[in-house]
Amino acid sequence: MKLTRPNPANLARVADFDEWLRHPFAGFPAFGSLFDVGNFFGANVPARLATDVYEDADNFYARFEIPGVKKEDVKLELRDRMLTVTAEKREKSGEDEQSYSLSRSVSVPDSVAEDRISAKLDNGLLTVTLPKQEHRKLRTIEVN
Amino acid sequence: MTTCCTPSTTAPSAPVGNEQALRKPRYSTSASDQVYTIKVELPGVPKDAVTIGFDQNVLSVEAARREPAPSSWKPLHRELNDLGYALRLRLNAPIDEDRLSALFTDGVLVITLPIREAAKPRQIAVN
Repeated sequence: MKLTRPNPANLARVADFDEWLRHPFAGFPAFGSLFDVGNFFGANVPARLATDVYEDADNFYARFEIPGVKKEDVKLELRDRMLTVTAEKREKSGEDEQSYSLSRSVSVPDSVAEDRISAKLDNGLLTVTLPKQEHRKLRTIEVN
Repeated sequence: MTTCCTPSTTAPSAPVGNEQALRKPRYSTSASDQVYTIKVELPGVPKDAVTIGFDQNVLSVEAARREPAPSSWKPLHRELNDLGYALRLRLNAPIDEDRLSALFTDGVLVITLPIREAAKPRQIAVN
């Protein structure tokens, strides 16, 4: 009988390519409508934010919908390669102000340059840009 | 809370040739003696893509599909919906159409509908 062993080099390549897909998020997938949950359980339980994740040659991008949230009420925290976005939503009705928080944690691939992560809030759409480290970028080498 | 409006059963009138599907946005309503306020959540929609209409006591809000991610971005994981928004609300009280106003900030559209003078509650003195 002949045993064939998987080629470790090949495995490593697949894992690298699949980095986000393998363990992109903690917990279960969320659905956009979960905004309501925060209201239902009260202000102490953050509702889960839905997200889209993209990549191009230079960066990973994570997008979150947070309508009605001011820039100063958005908190981004990076800890143990886990990026947590928390948005505090304040709703005024007359004299009363209600607030509840929306949150989502996304695990960040090793190839991200943590010190260069940036975020932009535009019309209630938050885009977090996670730059890839220089040496992990795809390079094309010309054949002479 | 006083309800000022009910979702209209009439389907939104899509412009001819526009076969894009639309979804209903999240919204909330509140009322005072003077005005009705309707808040509609339209995240990611640019201001100039929002249209508001008022016809025969039906308020309609339409917002084009929000700007898609640049084509060079490769999607790895999708949860958000890219469809445009359409909302139609039938109002239960007479509105002063000329003083209808709207404000769009941080992806939330706030529409203020002043109640017509004649429809406001009046106090009648007992002699």
